[in-house]
Amino acid sequence: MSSAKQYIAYLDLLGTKGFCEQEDLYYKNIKKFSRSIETLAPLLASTGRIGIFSDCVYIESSQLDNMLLFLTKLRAMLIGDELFFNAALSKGQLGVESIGYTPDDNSNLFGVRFTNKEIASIYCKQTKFRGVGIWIDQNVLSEINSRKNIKIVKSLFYNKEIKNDIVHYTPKPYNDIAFFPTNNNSDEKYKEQEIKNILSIIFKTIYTSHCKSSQYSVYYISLLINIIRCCNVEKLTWNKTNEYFENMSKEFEVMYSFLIECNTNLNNFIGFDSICLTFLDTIYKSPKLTCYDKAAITELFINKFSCLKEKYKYSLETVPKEPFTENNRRDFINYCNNDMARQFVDKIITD
Amino acid sequence: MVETRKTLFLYPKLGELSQDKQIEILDLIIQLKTIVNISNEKIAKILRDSSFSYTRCLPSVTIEELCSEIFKNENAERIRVCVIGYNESNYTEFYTDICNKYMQNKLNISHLVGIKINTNTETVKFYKNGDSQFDVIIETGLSDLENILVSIMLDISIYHYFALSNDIQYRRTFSELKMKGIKEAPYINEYGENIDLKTIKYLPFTYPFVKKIANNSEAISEVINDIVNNYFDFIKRYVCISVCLNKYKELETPYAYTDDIKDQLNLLIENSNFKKGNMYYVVNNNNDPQKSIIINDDSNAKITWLAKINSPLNNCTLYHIKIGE
Repeated sequence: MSSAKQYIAYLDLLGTKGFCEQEDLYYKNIKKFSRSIETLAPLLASTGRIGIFSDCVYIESSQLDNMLLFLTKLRAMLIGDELFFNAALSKGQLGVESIGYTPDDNSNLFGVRFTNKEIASIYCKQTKFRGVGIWIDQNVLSEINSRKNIKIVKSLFYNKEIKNDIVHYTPKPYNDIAFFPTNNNSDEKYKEQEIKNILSIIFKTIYTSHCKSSQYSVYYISLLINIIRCCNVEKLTWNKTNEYFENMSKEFEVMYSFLIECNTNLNNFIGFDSICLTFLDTIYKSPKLTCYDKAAITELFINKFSCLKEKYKYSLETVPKEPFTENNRRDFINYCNNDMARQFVDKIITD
Repeated sequence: MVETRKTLFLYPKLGELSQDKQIEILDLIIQLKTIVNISNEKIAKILRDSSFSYTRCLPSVTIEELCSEIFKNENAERIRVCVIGYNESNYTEFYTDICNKYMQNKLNISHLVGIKINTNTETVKFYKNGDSQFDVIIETGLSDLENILVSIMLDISIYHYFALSNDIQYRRTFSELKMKGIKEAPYINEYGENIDLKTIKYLPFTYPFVKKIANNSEAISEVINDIVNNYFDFIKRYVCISVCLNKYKELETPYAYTDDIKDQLNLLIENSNFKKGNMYYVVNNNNDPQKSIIINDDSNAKITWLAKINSPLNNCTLYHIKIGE
C-alpha cells in the first residue's frame, strides 16, 4: 500500500428506491447518473480513479483540488436531471483490485475487491449522513478551509432515531462545500436567472418527495440550509413601514418566498423550524440591519411561521444550537423573550 | 393520443477536446442542463394552458454528448439543435457527419439548428454562414436560450396541433413555406435587425410569441390565442394550394397541378356542395375526397378546422378553393 496522501469519497444517488416504483425511471436515472460521472471523469484523469457500481460511486484522488472539483461539478451537473446524492469525503485510500473483466480472462466473475479497511470507514460515514450534500470529515477540513476558492458551510441533517417506539428526528451539524456558486458563470445577464432556475428544480424535487412522504423530504434539509448559508445579505435592509426586506440578493429573495410557501403548503415538513432559524441566523449577519430591525424581523418570523411559535414559545431553552452561529442563538432568544413579554404586558395594561 | 416527441440538443464530445477546453465546456454543460430542464417545464406549462383545446404532441429536449451511437435507433431523427460554439471556441467541425447525413436526407429531419453561445452578446442573432450546412445559426447568451428552445419545441407542437402531415418531404416543404410566411410577417423585427432572410432556411415561428410569454407569464392564454390565429392565417395564406374554379365549378385553365391532383380535385368538387362566390379551405385526408374536411372561410374557420380534426392526418394536402361568380 502506498503511503502517499490520498483522498477518498463515497457517494450514492438519492431516491433510487423511489425510482424502483417505475422501472423505466430507475433505468433512465441510473443512466443519466453514470453518464454525468463519465463526463466529469477527465477531471481526475491524472490524479485519481473512479469506480461506479449501479447508483454508488467510489472516488480516489491524490489531489484534493481535483476531488473537490469533481464532487462540486457532479452535484451541479445532476441538478438539471433532478438528481441528488449524498457523499462523504475523507483522507484515505480505496485499495481496490479488479476481479476478472479482461478480454483474456475466462472467469465468470467481474467487479472489484477492496483491500483496505479505509473503504469501510468512508462507507460507514456516508451511511450515517442522511442528507443531500457532501459531508466533509474533520481530517480534511483544515486543508479545504485553507483554499481561497472553496467555501465551507456549516449545515445540518436530521438523524432518525427510534426511542420507546417513537420516531425522533434530531439535527446533526456537519460541514459541506458551499452550494453557490455552482460554476464559473461568465454570463452576467444569466446570473440571477440561473439562481432561479436551479432553485426551482430543487423546490420541485422537494415538493414531489414531500408529497410521497415527509421521511423523504427531510433529506433535503441539509441542501436547503447549505443554500441559506450561501445567501448574500451584505446589502440587505428592512423596511419598517412595509415590514418587508429590501435590497435582497436573488437567492435570498427566492429562499424567503420558499419559506413562506412551505409554511402554507408543506405540512409536517420535518426540520422546517431549523430552516427558519438558519434563515434568521443569516439575516442577523447583515451589516446593514440594526438590533431593532432584527427584533422586528424575529417577531415577524415568530408570528408568521407557526412551527417556531408552537415549538419554542414556552421553551426557548430548547431552541437548537445547530442552526445558529456566533451569539445569534442568544440574540434570538432575547428578541423572542422581549417580544413575548411586551405582548403579555400590553394585554394587561392598556392605554 | 398525445405523442411525445424528443428533440436532441447536442454538445461536442468532451474526449475530443483538449483538457483546457474540457474544463471550459463543463461549466457550460452544467448550465445547459439546467436550462433544458426549465425549458421542458415551460413548454409543458404552455401546452397545459386551457387555450390549447387539446395537446396532440408533447415535445421535450434532451441534452446529450455527441457520440457515434447518435445515429443508432431513433436518435438520428431526433437531432435538431447542436452547440457549435462557445465564446471564442468553434465546435462546428464535430458535426460534419451529422451535417453530411442531413444534406443527403439521411436523417429524416426537416431542419438543423446550430447554437453559438456567446456570453457577451446582448441580443439574439439569427444568421447563416455561406458555407454552413446548418439551416440557421443562432448566436445567443444563456439568458435567451430558454426562449429559443421553447419556441423550437412549440413550433413542433403547433404543427401537430393543426394535424399537418408527418411525411418528411411535406415537413421540409412546409419549413420553406414557413420561412416565406415569417419573412412577410409584421413581427419579423422580433428576430433582430439586419437579419439576412435570403440565406437563413429556418426560423422558429413562435419565437416572438414565446418572448412575450417570458416577459409576462400572466399573458400565456392571450399569447397562445395569438399563436394559433397567426399560424392558421399563415397556413391559409402560404400552405394551402390555391385552386380557382369558374362559374361552372370547373378548374380554371391553365392547370398548374399534376394529373393526380387534378383527379383528386375533380372528385372533391363533384362530391362537395361548394357555393359560388364563397372561399373554402379543404384538408384532403389521405387523398380520399370522401374524408376531406371542408371549411368555409368565415370567422369560425379555425375553430371548425380544429373541431373536425380528430386524428392525425397523413399526407394531407391543403386546398384553398375559390369559386368564381
